[in-house]
Amino acid sequence: MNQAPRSMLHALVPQGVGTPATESLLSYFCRLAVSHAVSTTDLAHFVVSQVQHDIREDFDWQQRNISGIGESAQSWAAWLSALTGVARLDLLTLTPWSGVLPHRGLAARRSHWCPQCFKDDQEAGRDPYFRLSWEVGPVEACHRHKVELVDTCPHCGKRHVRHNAGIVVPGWCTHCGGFLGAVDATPASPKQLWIARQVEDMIASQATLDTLPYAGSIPTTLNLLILGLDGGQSAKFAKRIGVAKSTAHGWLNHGNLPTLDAFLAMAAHSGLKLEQIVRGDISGWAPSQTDTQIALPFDLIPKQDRQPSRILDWDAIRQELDEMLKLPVPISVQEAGQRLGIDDRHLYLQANEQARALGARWLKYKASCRAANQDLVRNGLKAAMPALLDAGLPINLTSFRQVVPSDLLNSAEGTFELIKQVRRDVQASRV
Amino acid sequence: MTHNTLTAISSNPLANLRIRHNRLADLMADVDSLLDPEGDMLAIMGPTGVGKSVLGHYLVENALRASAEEMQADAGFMPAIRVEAVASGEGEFSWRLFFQNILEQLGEDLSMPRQMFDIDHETGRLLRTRRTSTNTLAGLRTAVERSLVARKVNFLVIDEAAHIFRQCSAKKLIIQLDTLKSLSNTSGVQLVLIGSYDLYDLLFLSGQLARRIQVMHFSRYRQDVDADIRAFRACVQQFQRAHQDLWGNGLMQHTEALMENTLGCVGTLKAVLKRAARFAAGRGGWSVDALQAALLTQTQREQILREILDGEQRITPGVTRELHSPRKNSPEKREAA
Repeated sequence: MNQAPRSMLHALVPQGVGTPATESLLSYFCRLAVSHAVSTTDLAHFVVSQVQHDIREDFDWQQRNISGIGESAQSWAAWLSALTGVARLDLLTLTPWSGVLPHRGLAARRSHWCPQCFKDDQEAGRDPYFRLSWEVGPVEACHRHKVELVDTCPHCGKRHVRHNAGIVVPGWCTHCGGFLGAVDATPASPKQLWIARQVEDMIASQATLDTLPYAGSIPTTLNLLILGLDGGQSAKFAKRIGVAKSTAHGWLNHGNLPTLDAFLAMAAHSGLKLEQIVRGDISGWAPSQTDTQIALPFDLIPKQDRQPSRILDWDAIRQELDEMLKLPVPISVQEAGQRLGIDDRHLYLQANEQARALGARWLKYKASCRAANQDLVRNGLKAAMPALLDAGLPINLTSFRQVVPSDLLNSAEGTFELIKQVRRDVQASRV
Repeated sequence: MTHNTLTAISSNPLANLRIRHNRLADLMADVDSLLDPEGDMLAIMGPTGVGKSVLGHYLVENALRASAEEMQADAGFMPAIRVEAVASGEGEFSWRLFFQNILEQLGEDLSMPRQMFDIDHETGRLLRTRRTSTNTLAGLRTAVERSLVARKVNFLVIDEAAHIFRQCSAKKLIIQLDTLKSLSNTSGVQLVLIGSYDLYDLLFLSGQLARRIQVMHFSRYRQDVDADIRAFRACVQQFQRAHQDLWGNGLMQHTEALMENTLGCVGTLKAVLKRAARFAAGRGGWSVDALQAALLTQTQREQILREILDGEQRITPGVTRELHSPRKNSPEKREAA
């Protein structure tokens, strides 16, 4: 019976994908640890050991922002996709916006939560989970429940108790074990609610993005906003947004990216949604005022013309991967990615089944090559035994180096163990 | 004898051959109809060598085949698994080993030490034990329960289940069964116990246990039942076809003798024929002598037969169900009136 290989980790269903209540990858990772009844530390070490990535095994996973926008988030989403068999775990991070949002100011400064969200989860019979929106810096409220996010346990009064521990069950204090939903939170201000709504809607939209937003569209979007709001005067626009003239100049002419706070300010002033501005989709937006005295060229081209990210036909790619599965000599996922010109992490995210099948086939092939090499070396050692015994040499690596060609001796792992086996066989035959 | 024939003999194609025969197919159909997440625990018992382990393998393979589409869509899904309740060699059954075996079958990596932590239903608080660097029994049990749920396992086949209950006092028997039942309840997985006739005695020492288990009898093929004789003959034919290069068509004429010697147990038949093939390889070719040398000795046969007859007698009340028609003017009816 030919079956797709079973995943190494449980294929938990990510919560809320495509909604404002999208789960964060941090939360998914913690729930995985609960599902396997292991500490988050042990699970992190396991993941690292499986992907054979070149990082220290004693690294602290909590130092990484695995739900953010950077390399860590992208890698961890791919690794967990590979190990769980669940595709598109990058949707639990902010990486879809990595082309248009800078790291600065993006990560939340506190580990906070909405107690009402946890309570709702419990009442709905699902495991409480952390929302991705809580990991975004400017967000301080929950739009759904109209309350401020809290960062203090209502039972023990401690902070940093959401996930900063080895044993983490999302929704429960890592210090005293109390339920973090057992508190009435302070009502949020209109500004906090507006910001939360904008970010939550942006997160909800990332599941249906046709193409990833790219930085090249930002200057065009900004020019339209500047024209519509401030008659084309970028200095005035910068003042409106609350940034220096030079900062706006950098956005328009040097390819610098506005911070999320700046994008939010633009959304507030223009009436557009945050996701529209960030995606560069503001067609149909009517400028609130026109200034006929100033005619600005619409064909302003930024000095650094950034190309949009490549649009990939994933159906065709999956078919190519299916063909690669039929190759007489198996190849690794990394090799497949190189042949297709695609980061192998994306293969795990977007073509998970094929990537995992390639990976399993490659591991099996490597294991059989290893075994074949070891047989060769073992036979070489056995063939060299009479020469050693005739010469009265001890059965060790130094002696074998004198009679066995080095390219054969070095062709397999575990030479010492093979020599021990040969020595044991000789001793057994003498008995 | 040619070299090619010797090569063919020495590779022994019977080694991994499994015969799907009538009794097995019928029992699998019955088990299939009783598989239900909220159903009773199933206990399948039969004589040594009848093919109980093969049944266990087939049950799981059937489940995998039936769920192929769902498994394709969900890489974590495992509809069924099979484990052996291994005799640890110690005085008591080792639940630790047992849970580790289950986790291995569930594809879990045992290098990660399992921890016991859960939400207390009464207080609503998170309860944890001190984190350990090795697997504790409580941690393993927690991991098994959660993994069975996460993998959406429908049923768990436990072969050699008698090992769980041996060397137990009557009181301990109930504890052992409660442990199994609790595992089944918390994980929503139906348990299918497979074992020899002594499993019946162990489980039915208590009426409390008896009513919580559905018993099924995997019986042998009997020489006094025509249908059984035909079915056994078909098994011999399958074995003959599997190694035709060795015994040609020379096996079928010995069907009656084989049925008598193996007591109608297909597992024992396979073991005898495997031995015969090895003897033939050692002696340079097939002969009736090779077959004869492979048969059970008289002593062996008599011992096994005694155990089978004893077992069949004990289990019959446990698997016999009668629906009596009410009699007219029965004493009970007159009393009610």
